[in-house]
Parts: sequence; C-alpha cells; structure tokens
Amino acid sequence: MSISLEIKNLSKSFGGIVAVEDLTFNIKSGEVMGIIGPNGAGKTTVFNLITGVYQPTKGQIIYKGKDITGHQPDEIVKLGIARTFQNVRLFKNLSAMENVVTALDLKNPMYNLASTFFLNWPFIPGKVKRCEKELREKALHFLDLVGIADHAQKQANALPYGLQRKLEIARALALEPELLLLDEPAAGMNPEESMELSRLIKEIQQKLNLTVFLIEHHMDLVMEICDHLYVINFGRELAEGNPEEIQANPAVLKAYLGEGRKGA
Amino acid sequence: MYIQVVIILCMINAISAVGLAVFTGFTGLMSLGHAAFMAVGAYTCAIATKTFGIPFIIALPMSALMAGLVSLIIGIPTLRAKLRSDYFTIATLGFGEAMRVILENLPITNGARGMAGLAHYSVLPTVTVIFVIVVFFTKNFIFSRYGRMAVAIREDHIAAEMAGINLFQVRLRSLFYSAACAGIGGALMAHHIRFIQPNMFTNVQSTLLTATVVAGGMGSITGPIIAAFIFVMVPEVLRVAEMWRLVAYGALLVAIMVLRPQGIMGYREFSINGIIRYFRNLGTKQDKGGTVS
Amino acid sequence: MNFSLIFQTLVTGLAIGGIYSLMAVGYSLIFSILNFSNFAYGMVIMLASFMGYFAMSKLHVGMGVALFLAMIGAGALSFFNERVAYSSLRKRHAPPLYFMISAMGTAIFLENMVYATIGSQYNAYPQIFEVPTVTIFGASLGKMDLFAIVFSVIAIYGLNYFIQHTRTGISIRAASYDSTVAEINGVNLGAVIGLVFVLAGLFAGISGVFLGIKYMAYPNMGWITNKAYVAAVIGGLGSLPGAVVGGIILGVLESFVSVYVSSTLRDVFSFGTLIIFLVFMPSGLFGKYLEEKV
Repeated sequence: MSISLEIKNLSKSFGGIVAVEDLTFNIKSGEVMGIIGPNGAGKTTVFNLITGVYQPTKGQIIYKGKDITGHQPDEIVKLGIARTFQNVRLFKNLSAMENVVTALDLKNPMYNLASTFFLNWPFIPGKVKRCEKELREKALHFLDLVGIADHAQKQANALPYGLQRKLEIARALALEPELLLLDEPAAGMNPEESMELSRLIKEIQQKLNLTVFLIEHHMDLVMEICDHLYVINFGRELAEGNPEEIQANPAVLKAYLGEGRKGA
Repeated sequence: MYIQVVIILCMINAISAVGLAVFTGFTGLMSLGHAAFMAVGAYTCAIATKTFGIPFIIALPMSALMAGLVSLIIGIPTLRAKLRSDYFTIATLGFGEAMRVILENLPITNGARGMAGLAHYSVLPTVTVIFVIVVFFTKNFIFSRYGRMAVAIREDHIAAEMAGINLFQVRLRSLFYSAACAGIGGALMAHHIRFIQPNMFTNVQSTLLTATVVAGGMGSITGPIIAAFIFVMVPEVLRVAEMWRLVAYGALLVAIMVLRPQGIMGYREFSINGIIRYFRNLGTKQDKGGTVS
Repeated sequence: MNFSLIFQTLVTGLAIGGIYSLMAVGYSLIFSILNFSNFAYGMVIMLASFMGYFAMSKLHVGMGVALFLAMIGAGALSFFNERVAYSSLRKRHAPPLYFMISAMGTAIFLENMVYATIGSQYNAYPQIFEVPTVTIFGASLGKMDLFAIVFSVIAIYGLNYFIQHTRTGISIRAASYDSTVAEINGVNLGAVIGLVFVLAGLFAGISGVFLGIKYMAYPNMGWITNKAYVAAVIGGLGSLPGAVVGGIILGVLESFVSVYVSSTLRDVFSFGTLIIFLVFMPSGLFGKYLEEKV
C-alpha cells in the first residue's frame, strides 16, 4: 500500500504554549487511521495543521509525495483532503442540499462568470439553469450516501444534531476527496447511534475507496473501524499500533485511566 | 417633474444599495467606504463626459470599471491579509476618508470646489433601463455558483475554506462587483444633480448605504431595493430636513440591530411564493445570530 | 535644520499625541472587552467637547470644573450607549457585524442630533491662559499643550493603577481575557462591561475638552476622533500600553508631516499608516492578533 499522508516532526505552539510537539506518523492509502488521546491532547490541532487552518511551527506535512506544509486550506482541499469539524460547521441558513451543492462546485465547476451574467434569463431554459439542476441531482446522491436525502430541502440548522453531523460528512464527500478527516463524528451520540455511524463510515470508505483519518472518543467505534491507531497525550506521541496493541499498551492505559489505577 | 425626480433618486440609490448588498449581505463584510466608490464613479463619468467629451454610454461603463479597479487598491492588500471583519471595516473607513482628501487635492477633479455644469443624462428612461440591467445582473450573480460561494463565506468562512473556496478571490470579486455598482450609482447621481463635490461622498453617505442594506435585510436583493425606495420617498413625502432624516436613520439602525436584525426581508426575496412563506413563518422564526465559537 | 522648530513640532505632536492616547485608551478598553470597534465612541468625545464648552461659556465655570462635568456627562452617555445599543446584542451573542452596525447607528444618531439641535457652527472655548504660550529653548510652546501632556499622563497612570491593582480592575482584566470564563467564575459581566464603558466615557470626557480647547467644539469632529482607532491599531487593538504609545507616535508623526511635508496630506498619511498597519502588522506594536478558534 502506498502512503497517503506523511507527518514529520510536526510541532505547533501558540504564543509559547506547546499544543503538539514532534509528531511523526504515516497514513497508508485506503486504511482507516484513528488518532486518540485525552481531552486537550492536541488532536484537533493536528487536523487544523493538516488542513492549513494553522501553520505549523516546525515540521512537514507531505500528501501523496507533495509537501503541503504552509499551503492555504482551499489549496489543500483541492489536492483531495476534506474534513469535518468537532463543533459542526455548516452553512446554517442554507438548506442541506445547498450545503452539498456548495462543496460540489470544487470538482464540478460547470459554468463561468460570463454565462452567469448573460445566460440566465427569466422563463427561458439556459445553460446556468441546466447546470444547477444537474448539480442538485448530484447533491442528492451524496445526501443519499449518508442517508439524509429526505431532508434535502430543510435548513441546515433546523436538522437534529445527529443529522447535522451526517450532512457535514456528505458535504465533505461532495468535495470528492481521497483523504477524509473526521473530527469526532460520533460526538453526542449514544452507543447504538455511534455503532450505526461506524458501519456507515466503513461502508462509505469502501464504496468510495477513501483513506480515513478520524478523531474519536467512542472507543468501541474506534476499535471497530480503525486499522491503525496513533495515540497522543499532552501534544506528544504516546503510542502507535493496531487496535489490539493499543488496548494492551500500558502507557495508553495509564494516560486514559490515570495514575491511581496503576496498581489495580 | 417632481415625482420623476424622486423615482430617479430612488433607483440611483437602489443601484448602489444592491451593489453593497452583494458585498455586505451576501459576503458578510461591512464596508464604510462605499461612498468613495460612488465618488470615483461620479468623477470618472463627469471628467469623461465634460473634460474629454466621451459619450455617456461609454463613460458609464468606464465609471463602473474605474470604481471596480479602485476597489482593488484597498481590496487586494486587506482581503489577502484575511483581516478580521472589523479590521477590514476600519480599513475601508480609512480608505474612504483618504479618497476624499485625494479628490480634494487633485487638479483634474477641480479640488474641493467640485465640478459644475454637468450634462443632464440621468433622465427617467435611462435610469430605469440601467436599474433593470443592474438588478438583472445582480440577481444572476447572486443565484449562481459565485453567489453561493459568497454566501458560504458569510455563513462560516472557515467551513467555506474547507469546502475549497478561496476566500480572497470570492471576497475580492464581490467587492469589485459592489464597487462597480456604486460607481454606476455615483455616475448617475453626478448627471442627475449635475454638480459634484468631494464632500458629497463622506462616510455618512457610506453609512446610509449600509443602513439601506441592513434595513432591507442582509441576504436579500429585493429587500435593499425596497428599503432604498422607502429611504428616499418617506423623507421626500414628509419633507423632513436632512439632519433629522439622519437622526432617524441612526436610531433606525440601532433599532433594527436590537429588535429585528434580519431587516425587512432577511434572507428572503420578494416574490409571490415568498410572501406566502413569509406570513406562514412570521412569529415562528427568530434570528439567533450565532457567533464563531 | 532649525532646532527650536523641531522642538516645537515635537511638543505640539506630543500634546496632540497625548489626546490621541486618551481617546485610543477609551476605545481600546471597549475593544478589549467586547472585541468590536465602537464607532460611536468618537461622537461621545464630540459631545464631551460640547459639554465642556457649555460649562465654561454658559455656566462660567473654570476649566477644572468643566473637565469634571464633561467626564461625568461622557461617562453617563457612554454607559447608556452600551445599555441601549449593545447589551441585548451581547446577550444573544450576535455576530460582530451587528455590533458595528449598531455602533454606526448610534454615531449617526448622536452626530446629527447635535446638527439638528445645536447647529453646525464652531464654538470656541473661552481663553484659559492670559498668555497662551511660554518660550522654552527658543521654541514657543502652548501652555495648554503642556497641560494636556501632563494631565494625559496622570489620567493614563491612574487608569493603569486601577486596572492593575484593584479588585474591580482584576475583574475587568479577567473579562477582557475571556468573558465567558470570567462570568463562570463569578464576575458580574453586565456590571463590568457597564463600568468599562463608564471608564471609556471618562477618557472621552477629558479628550473631548482638550480637543475642544485646541480645535473648538463642532459636530463634525469625527475626522479627528477617528484618529482614536488609528492610534489604537498602531499600538495594537485591545492593548492599553499600545494605545498610549500608538497615540503618541501618531501625534508626533502627524505633527512632523504637517510641518515638514504638507498639512493637507496629514490625514491621508494617518489613514495610509492605518491601512499599512492593518495589513502588515494587524497586531500592532503591542497587541495580540486574535485568531479565530476552530
């Protein structure tokens, strides 16, 4: 398997406070990799660094052999990395459909500025109207993929929280990425919902041949779908390995269960 | 005829307001320097027609283009730097002030005395045709992939970036478009009043435009048009003195923000379906005005 | 180069810089706590200038009393500005754009209220010193300028002491660092914000009177009160030492530009500086540029 993303000695500090320090790991193409760690360990910072929201203080990020360190978020997305956010960031006042259509534009720019101005007359079918219709059909496909096609016309912030998370995934998928970063996709879900979500993620990953990198606190979900895990604590690497190895790793147990349980 | 003059004024204001609506309402950035773009349009058109004898039909698009180009001077550095929204607003305010001082000191603009005796091109049929064209283009622009990108930025600029949208490009495009509209508004104004002076284009003018867009509803085109008409007509009908008008606009802006931030139309457009929907939703929908957490 | 002219230009610059500092401090205080640009602040300064004028010319009080009255008046005005125009926005967590629009509305309202009721004429303060200048090192310096410098220093020092060393001051600092956390920890946010607006108003009062003495009182003072945020941006928005230093730098630079380059270009220069700072150094000399959290 080829390597999708290489992280080399990645560090980020905010005004003297170190958020992540010297992280090095690889994500192989086609695998589901999980990054876990206690709250405040720096997981979301890793995502923000990969997607260019923050610039790293030190280190390199290499995607498919190309150094993307310091690139702008939109450039990184164009290269094939999409993400969701821990605290769902949708275009709230737009419908679910429009949320997805917005993202579709990246890989499907269907008409140019001149046609926008001159080829869209009231009551007359034209290029712009045709393209918009096509985009909506395409968007429906992505909504269907996460199972929320029925809610296509609803305003995004009127959707229940769980569906908002799914909509965010649909929007990320509409960017037609090769690497998908999911930031706590099951946050706020009960165990049943999170297991259902894990099946959905696995299914989509296989159907679209994606590489998935996810942050998650639901350990059953993580153990269920991740091929590989990377554990960080206080911004530093703690362990790396497959789920079985991680579950048996004493350092990880200590970080998660605390000093008090050490002897137990 | 008096009524014609009022309607012409309404449409001229609506042209500038529609332009600003694209920028403030749909891209989510506030400008307090749009009077500067109106000034650039007005002066370009006046100088072109009066000094160089260029026909109005060519001078008008030139004004739009010139206002658009001038907007790049402020837009490129500030938007590239991805300034926080309020820093951007302060920059536009400073730009507007600086622009006025420059106009007061250039020989070609005849300094603070201004330019008088401009030809009377802004007659009702001309203004109406231009108004319709501007509204048509704006509608097409907003309800397109370009408008969608702008709205995405207004809704959540970080999510928009992560949807592959280039903030700089989209914001600059909106700014250019809105400045061009303001330029046309200014040019028409110049050939309506037939006299221009730098102090006609102060930040009060900019704020009035913003007030029009806010009152009409940020996220609507028809809203600001309606508001532009109301803002011109009501004081005309009531014969209110200029400063009392401004007192009322100031109070109105605060009242809108405090009581009804979505303005007249909110994110909706004026249409038959819209009216039905509007009355159905009345009272059930509240603007929550969420912040970035 | 003429030494006494340079010296005179410097002192004039320091005097106006001191006033800019006062304005920038008030403006920055509000910015630091509500994180938005209060465009209405300039109009509070303008009204303070009128209050000082009326106190001195109509009530025939001395400058000290006039200063005091203007500070009280501007403090109250600033307080009501917050209660009417911002507090409900704050409570429903409205986006910064709404605050700015509300502030702009307040500014237009106040400015035109003055136009409509008092009129647009320039109102000169009564003369304060019989001999308005003293000669030091061959330069003729305005006594009022010297007084403004001294008084500005005292006022800013006083504010700094209050914020650094009193319980209330600590609450203000806590709230400006993170208002939500401060509120959870028992800081009465409404009261603290009210107090900040009053403090800012006091500074508006002082600067308004000094501006009025120097340039007269008139409604169209916005061109000069706008310098408050130019100064604040140079120093770093939200930073009090920054506001002071920014104000002084701006005042001195302007003074030299108008003497040695051109007085008409002074404002273009200031706003040019503003834009250059915003673009290349958005955190100014002392401030922190607040990146939005993801």
